[in-house]
Amino acid sequence: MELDFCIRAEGIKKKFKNFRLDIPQLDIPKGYATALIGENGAGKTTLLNILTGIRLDYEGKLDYFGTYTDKDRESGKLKEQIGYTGPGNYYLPHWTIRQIEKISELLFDNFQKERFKQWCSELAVFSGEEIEWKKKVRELSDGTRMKLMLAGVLARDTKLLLLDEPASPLDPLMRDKLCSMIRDYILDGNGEKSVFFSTHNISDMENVTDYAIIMERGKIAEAGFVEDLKEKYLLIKGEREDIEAAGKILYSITTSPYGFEGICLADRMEQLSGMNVSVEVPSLFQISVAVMKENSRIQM
Amino acid sequence: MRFAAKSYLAFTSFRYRLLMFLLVPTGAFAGTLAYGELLGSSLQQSGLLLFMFVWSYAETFSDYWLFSGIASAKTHGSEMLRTSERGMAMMRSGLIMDQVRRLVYMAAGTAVLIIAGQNGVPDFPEFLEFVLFYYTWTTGMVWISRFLSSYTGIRILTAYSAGMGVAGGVILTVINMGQEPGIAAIRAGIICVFALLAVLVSVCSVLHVMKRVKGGYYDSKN
Repeated sequence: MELDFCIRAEGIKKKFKNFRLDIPQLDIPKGYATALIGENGAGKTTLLNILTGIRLDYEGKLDYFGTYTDKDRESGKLKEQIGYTGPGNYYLPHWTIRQIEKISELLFDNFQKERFKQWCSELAVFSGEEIEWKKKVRELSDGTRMKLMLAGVLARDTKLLLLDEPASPLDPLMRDKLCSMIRDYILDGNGEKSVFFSTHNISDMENVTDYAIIMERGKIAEAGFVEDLKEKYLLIKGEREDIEAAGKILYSITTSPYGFEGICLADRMEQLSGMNVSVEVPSLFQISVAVMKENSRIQM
Repeated sequence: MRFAAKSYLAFTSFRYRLLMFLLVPTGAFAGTLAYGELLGSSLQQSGLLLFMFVWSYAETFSDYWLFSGIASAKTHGSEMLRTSERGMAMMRSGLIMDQVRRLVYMAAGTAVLIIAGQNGVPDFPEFLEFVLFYYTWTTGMVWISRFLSSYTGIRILTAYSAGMGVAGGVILTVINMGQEPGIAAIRAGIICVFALLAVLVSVCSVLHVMKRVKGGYYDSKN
């Protein structure tokens, strides 16, 4: 399958005091929803900030939509096409909703006031029917603030959404809504619109994830289409007597008094022959945890 | 210019506009006139100082509702501004227009008070001295307040700055009362120094805050 990419990154490096982001190659497919998964401190936010352009001190090359390079990243043409939400100081805390609307109008040519109001209403940003224009950002809960940011980016015509932890502050119902919003956004783009989001809520976001990138300690540990990953990794369940032998073959293993469960690379399946095991398709959550365990500094 | 004005207005909330564009100027002006009437004495001296005290206090304190410690280590600007090509231009325009508004309001208020206090004959050098001194002083204090993210910090700064501003005004008044032969030259010198300082503080405060806000793009927080 011939793939187009909305972002291609090469040799991205960023050094902090005790951390180093080092990504030789990163390709985010166009027309899909891509999840960025990793434990705390893996470098997800740093990577997203670099891609969004709110962090400019890094090494490496970036290419957006096959048209713009990192030299064009500060150009309006590129920035107009990217919508970003993040957990930091996206809006200043004392801004009112009215100010946010006015500032958005000034900052982005493609911001549509009516659409913003519609999204505020659809996402129930405010408790009543009416928009509370005088309400300040600091008076909103984390979840409502995220909904407001989503209303702000969805009120614009963009080709790419970069969302940093959009699901974390949201309730389960709103996470479901977020998934359908992402799906609709991608469908609406006819292969031209893409979403790249970081998440810890892998299970909740799995049904909308087409492509996954798993990061650990500043590096990409695994990347691929979810369907491909589910062929590459398999979920194995077995009896207690095989724990030791299976442990040497499996990618990751969890034991219990009754047996074991683990992830095995498909190409190592033959080595399990003779053991009494069942094979299942793993969830993205199970694959991600297995990959993270393999690369984490956390002692499991 | 239109973009600059729109940017500034976008940064101001309705409450801020109501307070700083209307209520504070009207209140300070009316209060000072009433004070002069009540005392029936030299309005241009103590009345002007009262006017400037209220003004300086309101300007420094109300910036909490305008840019709210925008250059503080905690805030470091807004990510939303950084996601647009026009974000930094908008920020700069907001900062500049705020200074222009402050200068115009202070100049207009002071002029009217001096005219009223001197029965329609303003002492132009005195007018310049007061406007330049208070504009420079207040702009400097507002500049500092933008590096403070805590409400308490800004309140303490505001109280000190307004008090010290009045002390500066008293010194100016004492100098102006002098009858010595060289006093005109001293006053001309003061005007030149304050004019220079006004330009310097205006330019530096915008550049410094912008540098700090842009610093959010990088590790080094300036």
